[in-house]
Amino acid sequence: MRTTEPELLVDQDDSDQRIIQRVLAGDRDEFTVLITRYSDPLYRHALCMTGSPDVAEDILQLSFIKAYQHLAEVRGRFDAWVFRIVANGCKDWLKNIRRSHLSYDEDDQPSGYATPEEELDRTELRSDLDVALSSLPPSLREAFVMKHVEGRSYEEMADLLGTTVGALKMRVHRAREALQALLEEKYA
Amino acid sequence: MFDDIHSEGLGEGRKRERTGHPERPLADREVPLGPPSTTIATAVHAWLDGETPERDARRGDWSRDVEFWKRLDDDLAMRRRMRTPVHLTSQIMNAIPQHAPQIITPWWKREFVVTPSSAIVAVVALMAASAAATALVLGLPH
Repeated sequence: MRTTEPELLVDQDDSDQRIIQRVLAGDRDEFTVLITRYSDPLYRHALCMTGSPDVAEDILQLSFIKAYQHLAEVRGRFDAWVFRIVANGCKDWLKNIRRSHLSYDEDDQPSGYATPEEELDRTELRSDLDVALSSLPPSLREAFVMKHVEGRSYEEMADLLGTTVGALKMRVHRAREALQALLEEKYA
Repeated sequence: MFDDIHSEGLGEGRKRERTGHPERPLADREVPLGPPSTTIATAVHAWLDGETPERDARRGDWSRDVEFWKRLDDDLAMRRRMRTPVHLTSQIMNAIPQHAPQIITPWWKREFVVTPSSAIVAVVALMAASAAATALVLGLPH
């Protein structure tokens, strides 16, 4: 199975710290560069954690507002700092709301499938995977999404979540086994 | 295999026990159940982690699992390509404050500026405090 490199290091000619200094000096529009640079992986994380595009947008918006207000407090990597804000936002949302079934907005996603049957299969699998993901405890879901959707290494995950590689491997393995148990009868 | 040697009697015993005590509904159980789980071979986990090639995962009886995860990866690949909605950046920029973020410096780190008037006030206050302390010390024995 292929895992992709996270897109967190796209076009970093201008370092985050320099951009932050310019924003703090009053160049508010420079913050757009940081949003553009990091919003895609953060949006994917929020979307896979919550299962709802609207909620993912809300969490991302609130997180970037919070990041802007506390920008002077950034120590170390901005991307890791803002990731933690988004991840905590997702966890807070999950604590408050339980949903049994959620699906993505079909109009948002382009179809790459040739026939209506393939399209139907794809939609069904996506929906079933959403339900299966939503049944996982948040810590397992988070680890699975970071590994398989965001394509992060275990070392990077450990750095972001402040835990050990061994613990994260265990979470990912447990998540896989739970997902396979839920879906293999239909898809194996 | 080892467990099967004396399994006949045990099996019947279990059946009788089950018929005597009908299963309680899930909601009545004291310990909440975690998600259902199956066992995935270490070789398949290693392949999914990108540590070994696919052919290693297919050795033994794990081809079915490999096919399952390849199918699931089609959907995961689509999720990996998802982009932030175009309108969101401008929506965020409209929502953040118009002024620059505030830099809150603790008082002990703030720059201390001495002006001529504040210097005179400080010196006068210091002299007055010294005089008061001296008078107090000299006056105490009497």
